[in-house]
Amino acid sequence: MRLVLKVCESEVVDMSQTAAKVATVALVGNPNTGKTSLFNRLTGLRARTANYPGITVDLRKGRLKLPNVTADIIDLPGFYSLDALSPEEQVAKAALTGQLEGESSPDAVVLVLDATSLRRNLFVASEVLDLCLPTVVALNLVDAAESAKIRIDIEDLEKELGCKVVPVSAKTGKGLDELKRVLDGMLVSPLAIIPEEHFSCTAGCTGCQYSARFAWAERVANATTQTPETVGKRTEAIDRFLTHPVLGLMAFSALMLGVFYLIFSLAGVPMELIDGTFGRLGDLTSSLIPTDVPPVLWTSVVAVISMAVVSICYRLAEIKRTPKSMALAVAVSAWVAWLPVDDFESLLVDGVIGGIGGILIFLPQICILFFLISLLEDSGYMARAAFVMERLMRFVGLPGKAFVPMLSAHACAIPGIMAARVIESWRDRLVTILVLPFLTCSARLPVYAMVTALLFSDSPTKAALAFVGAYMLGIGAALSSAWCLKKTLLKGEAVPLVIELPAYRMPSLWNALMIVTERAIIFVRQAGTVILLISVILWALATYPKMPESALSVKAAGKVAALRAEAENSETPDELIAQADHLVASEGLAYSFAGRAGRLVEPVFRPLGFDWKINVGIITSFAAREVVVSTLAIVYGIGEDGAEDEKTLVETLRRQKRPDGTPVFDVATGLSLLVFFVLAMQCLPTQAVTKRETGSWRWAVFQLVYMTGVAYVAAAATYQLVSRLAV
Amino acid sequence: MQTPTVTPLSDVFGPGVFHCHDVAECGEASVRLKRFGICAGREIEVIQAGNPMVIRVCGVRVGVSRELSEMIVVEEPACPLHAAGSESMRVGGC
Repeated sequence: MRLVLKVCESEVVDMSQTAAKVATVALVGNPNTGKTSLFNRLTGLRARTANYPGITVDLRKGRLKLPNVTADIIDLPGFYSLDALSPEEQVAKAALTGQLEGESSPDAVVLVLDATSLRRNLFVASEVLDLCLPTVVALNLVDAAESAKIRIDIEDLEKELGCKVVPVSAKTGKGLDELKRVLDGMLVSPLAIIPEEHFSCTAGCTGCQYSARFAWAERVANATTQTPETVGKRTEAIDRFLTHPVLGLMAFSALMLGVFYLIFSLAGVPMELIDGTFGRLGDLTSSLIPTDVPPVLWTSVVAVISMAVVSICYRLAEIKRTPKSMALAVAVSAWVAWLPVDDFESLLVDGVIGGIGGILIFLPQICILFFLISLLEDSGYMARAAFVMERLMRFVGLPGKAFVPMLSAHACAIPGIMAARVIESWRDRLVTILVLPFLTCSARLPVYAMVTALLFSDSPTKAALAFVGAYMLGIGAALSSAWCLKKTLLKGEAVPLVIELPAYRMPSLWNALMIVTERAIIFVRQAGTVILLISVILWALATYPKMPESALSVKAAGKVAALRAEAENSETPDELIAQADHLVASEGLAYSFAGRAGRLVEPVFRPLGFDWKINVGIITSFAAREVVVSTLAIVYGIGEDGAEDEKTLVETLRRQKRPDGTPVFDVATGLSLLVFFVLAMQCLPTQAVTKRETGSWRWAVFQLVYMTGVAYVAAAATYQLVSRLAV
Repeated sequence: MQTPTVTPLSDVFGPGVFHCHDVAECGEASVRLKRFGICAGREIEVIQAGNPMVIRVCGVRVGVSRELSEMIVVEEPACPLHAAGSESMRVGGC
């Protein structure tokens, strides 16, 4: 084989210009080299997601202040070769070669190599060095290499690679000052030339370029590294168990059980805390709203506050200030300012605080799940999980790698869909995205809790079985849908697995906390923008048109009058007045757009056993499924607060009767409602992310239609079957 | 000198060190294998046979599906493989 010598040419750069601008530094390397840990160490909490036009992959960017220059560090996705296959790899390649829209090649590259696996990492190193960009090698995991008694001759390695090599440990922080010093020097001085030529096979090679590069990597690794025979023994011993066809699956099941046990056992206290805090915030807001302010002053103050809130939302959602967006902000503020005080209070307490609180309550569960996923990924176990799940997943048309997005989707489908970017094949990625929302996310839990309490409050075993059954139904629906897609619309087999099984490592708590913080910020940002918007729209639909007193039904008017009259002579008038108010609110909801829509679709949902009041819940929860609980609380006349008290809600729902005197929430209707919410899409933000990741609304609409169809048919079948069995 | 016989990696039933004879050209699939160092002329150590199987290339353990291991043609060692621990095979094969 003829190897071609490639010599990098020098490039003279104006020092003053380089020093004046913010330099761009790309952090590159194989997956599992501790790149993200190093990025977190270098940039701390200053990292943000960098959005580039035309790509769907989020790149993390963080600013690093060096003594003489400021640099933006971009954490590029790990790759095995510049022959990029997955979207993440393609973006990494585009960023390195200056093909990202509006971006030139980076001013410098930090090439992260794993000191415990140099032979493997040098393949990518050879490709990156061939790009002739100023490069410094960060030889990471030197602490792990030292404890494994791996000896690396740094000087020899520098000579072989033709660039500076800095031993670092992202875990302990060792060597970071030296890395910053080298980076600073590289950015302010005329760009360093790679003095030593190295062999490559990119031009004129008649043989296999991979083989040639690996041969070079092996030669360099052998010349610079001494590795004892004991290296890898521990990983080998653990893997005999964890990758075993039977024991591996058992270990996987036990681990997943442990993960979910920890989520539910640890999240309870913080969830109650968030719930209580938002409840108190609502009460406080109600008490702070004055009732005797002159209208002009009131309108002006509310308009200013409203403009401030909209500005914050724009900032959170990164919406640019254009004439259109500003006009919308002014229009919204003017509308809010002209609301009557009662409506304003309702908007603030029920729409904004209630809406955001209803979402943020799931934050603890999401944080715990991502913390555990991060630890498992860092330890090297996730690759084993994909390995043991490969056969089952491929049988239904999913790749083994789909396992990680599926696990994430149990917290929330959105990060799950985003995690599907690691899947190389477009078909496999699309199937994964389309079936992920079937998996039980945190937002479904309040619905499960309500229905199981409603049906099986006297039997914890039955309630637990229903809960587990709902989870299993979601998993079964995802897997069987993938199989159906494989046989019909997206024909073909999933791409077979080839996956690195990295050495087991002690996970970094610091790194896990950083990832959780980032995820939490994304979630809160979403709650403050998309969810807030949805909450306000739903509030408006459930509030308007306002019902005049004269429109109250005769029966309801009589009951309200009776309650108010009784309150005048009662020792507990507040309770009776509250009952009357809830009755009026219930009638008001029936009169609203949402209520009218509920009646309109009554014939459609009758086969599922739903009455118009449940339909209102189905409609209002179209954008966010958890909203159904608070809607049912309102529609059945117990008010928003009732939704927080599960006993009150369940008791009230249990008392509801149909016109023929039978209970509304019998076993058949309850199970039908449960099945519907396990399978239905009912999440607008997920739809938006599906559109973004697939590049068109076509797949998002398809997902909505087929999931709703499956949910409808399954719920109707459940109702019809159970009601006949009961008879 | 005995000519080694070639066989698909998927047909290997026990641990051992093999010489990669060829990787069938099959678009992206062969690129995916080659990126891991599974290409002609390189050594592949089978650690755990089966579907998927665990192999070691370039000092790294890699999990490979049967569909892909069928594409990898390896040279069988001249003497029979023993099913003992893979470690003894790593340095000298048979």
